[in-house]
Amino acid sequence: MPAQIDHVVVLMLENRSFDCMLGRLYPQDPDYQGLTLNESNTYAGTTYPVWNDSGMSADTACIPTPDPGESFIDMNEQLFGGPPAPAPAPMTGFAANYATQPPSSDGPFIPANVMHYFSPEQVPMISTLAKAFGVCDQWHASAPCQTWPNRFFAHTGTALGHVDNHTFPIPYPAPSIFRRLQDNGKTWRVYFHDMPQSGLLRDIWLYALFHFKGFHQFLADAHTGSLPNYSFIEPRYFTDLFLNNIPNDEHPPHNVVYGERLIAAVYNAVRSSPCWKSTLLIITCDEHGGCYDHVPPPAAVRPDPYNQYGFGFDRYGVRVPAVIVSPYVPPGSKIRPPPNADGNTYPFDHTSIIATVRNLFGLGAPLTARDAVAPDLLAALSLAVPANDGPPNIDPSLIQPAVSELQTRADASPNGVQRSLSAAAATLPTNPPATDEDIPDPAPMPPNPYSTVATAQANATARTQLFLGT
Amino acid sequence: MNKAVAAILLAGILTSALYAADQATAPATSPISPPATVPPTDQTKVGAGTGSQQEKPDTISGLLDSKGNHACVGLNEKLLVQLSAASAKPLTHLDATKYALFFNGQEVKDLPDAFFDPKHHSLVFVLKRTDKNRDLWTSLLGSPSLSHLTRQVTVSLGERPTDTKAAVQSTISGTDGSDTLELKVLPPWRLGIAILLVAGVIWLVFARARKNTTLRDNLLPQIPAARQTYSLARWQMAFWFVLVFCSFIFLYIITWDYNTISQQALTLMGISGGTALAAVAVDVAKDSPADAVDRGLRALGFNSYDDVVRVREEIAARQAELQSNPPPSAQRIAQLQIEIRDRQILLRTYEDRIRPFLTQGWFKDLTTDLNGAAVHRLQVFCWTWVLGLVFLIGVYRDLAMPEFGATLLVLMGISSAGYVGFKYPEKNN
Repeated sequence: MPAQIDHVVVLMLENRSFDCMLGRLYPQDPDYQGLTLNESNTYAGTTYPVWNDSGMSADTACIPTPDPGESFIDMNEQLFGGPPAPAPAPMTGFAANYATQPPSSDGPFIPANVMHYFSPEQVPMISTLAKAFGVCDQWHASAPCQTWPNRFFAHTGTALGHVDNHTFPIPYPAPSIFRRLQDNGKTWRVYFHDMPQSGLLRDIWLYALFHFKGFHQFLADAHTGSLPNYSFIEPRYFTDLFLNNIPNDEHPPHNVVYGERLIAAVYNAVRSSPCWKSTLLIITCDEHGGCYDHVPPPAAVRPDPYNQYGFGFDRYGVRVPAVIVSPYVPPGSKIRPPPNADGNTYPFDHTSIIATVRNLFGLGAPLTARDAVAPDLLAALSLAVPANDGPPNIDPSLIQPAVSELQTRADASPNGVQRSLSAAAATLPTNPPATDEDIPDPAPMPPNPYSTVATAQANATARTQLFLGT
Repeated sequence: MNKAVAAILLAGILTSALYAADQATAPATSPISPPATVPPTDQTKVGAGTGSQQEKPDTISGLLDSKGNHACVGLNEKLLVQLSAASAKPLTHLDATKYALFFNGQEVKDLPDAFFDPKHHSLVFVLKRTDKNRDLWTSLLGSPSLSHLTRQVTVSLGERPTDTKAAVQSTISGTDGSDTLELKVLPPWRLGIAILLVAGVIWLVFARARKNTTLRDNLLPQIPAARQTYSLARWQMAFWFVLVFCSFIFLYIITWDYNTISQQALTLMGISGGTALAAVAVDVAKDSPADAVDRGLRALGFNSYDDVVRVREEIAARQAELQSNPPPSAQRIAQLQIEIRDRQILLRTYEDRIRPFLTQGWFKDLTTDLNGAAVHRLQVFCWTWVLGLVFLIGVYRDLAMPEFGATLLVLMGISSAGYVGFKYPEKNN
């Protein structure tokens, strides 16, 4: 009897590789594709092995600082040590790419920083859930690209040929899983903190007003048992000096403790919800963000004919953490993709979310060729009854950001996703669109004019509020 | 404001001058003066050597002021009591020290020694208020009314008995109103100066507070003064300052006594001052929502309200350019629209973020915090009003600042301490 799942909740954080967050989850298990501690990169004659900074000071929680490179070119250098070459990628260029980044106000680019991993004790929330339920050690980012291509893959199964954030047209025109849910009478909501990146999807602008809600609404919906069929949660991308809020997206060099707190908040809300027994929670990151991972990305099915810089999206990105939580998932599961109907086995990627939702709710044909072959997660729900209740709750660190930390983050230059979000915000309508005529045609994004996170945040949140009518 | 300060200073100078003039009703130049040039034995102490021949007055034939006019006198002034004897002959000699003055049948004790004025055939009394006659003066002058600036008092005299321990009896009175004194309660010129002073201080403290931060929190420099919230601690301090100041002026113009500020009044001012100081200490000691908003606005370039004005002016300038003739190029129009929109977004953020810190009116500001109604604030507000009213009534009725019991002062202290204590978590919410 298939698992009775009525609610899928996805929490997508930012820019951490699988090895960075979960590489040492099962150190004694040879079946687990984690770190053996023999992995290393070499740069300028010096070998930089993977390493762990013991303890969990604020400095440790922010490794790597400064932010590694995450453009398409950076990623190729990280994987191949130069231009793309035939697979498999040797995964040898992380240290070199990091060491050769342009100067940053956040400090020097010390090559060892990108080779750092967190122990399970340092990231206890995601580690606890990974052990109590299931972890995917074969979940790749959909493309070796920045945030936006990967997030759009999660929503639409394609990036329409764009490898970097700043080249996307806004509003983004590809059909989305949200619209598919809408058209099939299923409920969905995006829960966000400051500005939802998914709010740039053109085909749901007419529904934005009633489907984009603050994260507090997720907690309320979970508490009252009124979670929609599909919930997508976006973390806080910006520092908000006004409310003493610091990013909880885990994007380097943001402190991962705040992301851990968000994971705990989401899990605790779902676990205590009347919807718990029929909920599937997926916790993942959009891309690796330049953090080291030792598994070469395999070849992928092209979603469509589009390409950029000669790259046709026929290769996955670097592995990212993926934890699958449900009372139907046996404790300690290592979730692997089942063979596809065509006989091939494809790794999980973000389009597996689309495949799962589509298959679970009977939403019809695939959105693209990529999600058509993507393995879904239904096989991971292997318990006959929802018997694995896991921990009743998980208790995160309650540290609060210091004023100096807030000020430092607010005064910093915006990172890639912050720059793109604030630039895209400038193109948002000043009122919620009421008809198709109110929705403008896709157009190139203007350049980001904001030199600090604080100004970018103010612009992005104010324009989002206008757009969503809040 | 300069005019107001000048007016108050002028009023102060006038007060001093008038007081000096009042005191300068010197005996030597006055129509009525002590008999400095007349040997006491001849006039004031006439009876000392010729007691058997001294005439004894039996009637008050009139009451005069120091200028010899029909009597309308007040505290610190001379009252001439004209006497006549049964023989109808004018009195030329009298031992003034034998006679005590009575108002409404009560002896006015502890007055300076009276003397006899042969020119006006009068006993001259200087009306002084001392500890021994304070109650009598309070009954005569207390609870004054602006509609009756004088009060009628029946004057009589009594002859002191030989036995100094025996009570003096009122034995000499007048007829047909000759013994009726118009006692000055609120001399018009003193009243005018007092009103000027009190109005000036009230204007300085309360009226001006509508447009500056005298009584406001000044939490965010990006908010103009008139939109800042009112501060409970500052209001309380100003309340007691104005109350004690007005009471002091009121008592001074009636009693001419400047030693009227009681220890309890000082304690109340101390409690209110201490509360304000502690509130400021809490404000600066802990990071608060206002501090966070201040940091956020500074990060956007809003360091003060001047920056807000500047951004508004930049928008206006660009809008004017859009309307200019000939119109700017299409490229320039697009650029101007982007710049206007960016600044409007900035201002929107500014308005959104300062909203919780804007005044919602005096009463609501004083009795609520960011979380809504606050009982610790309401408690301080109510007790301040109650004690203030009790204080005012006491001053008006008893012509003295009330001596509050320790219990009431402790109550006020507890309220204020509670307010400061609750202010700490209030700031962190």
